[in-house]
Amino acid sequence: MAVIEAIQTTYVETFDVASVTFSGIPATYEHLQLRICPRADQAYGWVELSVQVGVGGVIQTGTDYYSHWMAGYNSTETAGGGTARDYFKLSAASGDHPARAQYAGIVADILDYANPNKNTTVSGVGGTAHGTTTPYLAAFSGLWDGTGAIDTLKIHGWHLTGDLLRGTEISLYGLNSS
Amino acid sequence: MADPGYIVDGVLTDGEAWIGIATTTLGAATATVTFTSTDDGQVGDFSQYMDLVVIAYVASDRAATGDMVTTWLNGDTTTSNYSYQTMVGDGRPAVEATSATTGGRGMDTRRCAAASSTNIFTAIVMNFFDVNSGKHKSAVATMANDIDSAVEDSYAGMAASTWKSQAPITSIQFGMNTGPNVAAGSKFSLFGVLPRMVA
Repeated sequence: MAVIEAIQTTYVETFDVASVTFSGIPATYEHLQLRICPRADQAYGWVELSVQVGVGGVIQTGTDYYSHWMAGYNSTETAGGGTARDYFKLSAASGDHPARAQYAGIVADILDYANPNKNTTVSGVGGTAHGTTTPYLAAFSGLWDGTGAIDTLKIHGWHLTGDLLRGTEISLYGLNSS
Repeated sequence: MADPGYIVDGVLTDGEAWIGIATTTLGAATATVTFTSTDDGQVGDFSQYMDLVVIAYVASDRAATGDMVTTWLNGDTTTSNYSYQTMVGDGRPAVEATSATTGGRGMDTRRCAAASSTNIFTAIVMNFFDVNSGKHKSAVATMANDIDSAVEDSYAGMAASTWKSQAPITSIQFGMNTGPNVAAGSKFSLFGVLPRMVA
C-alpha cells in the first residue's frame, strides 16, 4: 500500500472558478494533505483561501470554523485569528496584483479527518514572494468545530466570494500508516 | 522510451505519490550539490512531477557559527531573478520578517549551521510547486537551526521564494553563501510528488 497516495489533482485551466471541490474522499486514509499552487481574485499582493468541509457530501455551513496564523510581510510580523465563521483559511494565495505568472505555494495537513468523534484541525504553511507588491508568508491553523467523518473539501477564493484564477492547481493526497 | 518501474503496460501499479529521486550524503566537504533531471521518462525525470520536495540536513564548513544555503534553479545565479519573504525566531524574543526582490541566495532558506558548531546540522524542508508549469516557480521552506552554544545563530524559520522564470525546473543546485563548502556529512534528498488527474 502506498504511504502517500494521490487522490485527485484539479487544475483550473480555461476559466476562473468560484471553488474547487473534492468529493467522495475515501475514509481509508489516516490523514489528508492539500498541496496548492494558487492565485486568487483579489486586487492585492496576496489573499487567503477559504475552505469548507463536507460530511456525507453535505457542505457544513454556520459558524463552526476557526483560523489562526502568524505571518510576515516585508519587514512586518503579525498574528491573528478568525473565529465563528463559515470557513477556515489557508494562507496564502497570490492575489491578482502581482505579475500574471506569480502563484503561491501552500501545504496543509488535515488530521484524522475520517474520525467522526473528533473535531478537525488543519495545520500548514504557505506564502508568496514576488518583486512588485506585498509578499506574504504564514504558518496557520484551521478548525472545523464539528464532528463527523469528512468526505468533502471545498476550496474557495477569498471569503467564499473571490474566484480561483486560471492556473491554480490543487492536489489532494491521502496518508496511510501501513 | 521505457516506462518507470511503477508503470507496467501503461498502468500505474504503485499508487505511491512521493517518489524518491535521489539522495546525496557528502563524504567530504563539497562546493555544490546538484540534482539534475534525467529527461528520460524514468524516476529521475522531473517533467512527470507536479511538485518537488527537498529534505536537507546540512551544514557549512565556514569557520564561524552560521552560514546560509544557496539554492539556484536551472543554473540561474542571477540574484534579481529571485525574491523572498522570510520569517524567523531566535529567542530574542521578537520574530523577524524580511523580504527582498533580489534574492542573494536564490530560493531562500535562511540560516544554516557552520563549522564552529561541531556535528550540528540544520534541518530544511523545501516544497517547490507546479515545477513544470509556465508560472513563476514558487517554493515554501521550513528551517530548524538550533545551535546550543550560540543563541545568536539559532533560528526556527520559514521562507517563501520565487524564481521569476516560466521555465520548467530541470536542476537544483545547493551551495553555501560563504562556506566555501557544504560540510561533510550534509545530506540532501529529493522527492518527486506525482499528481493524479481524474477525468
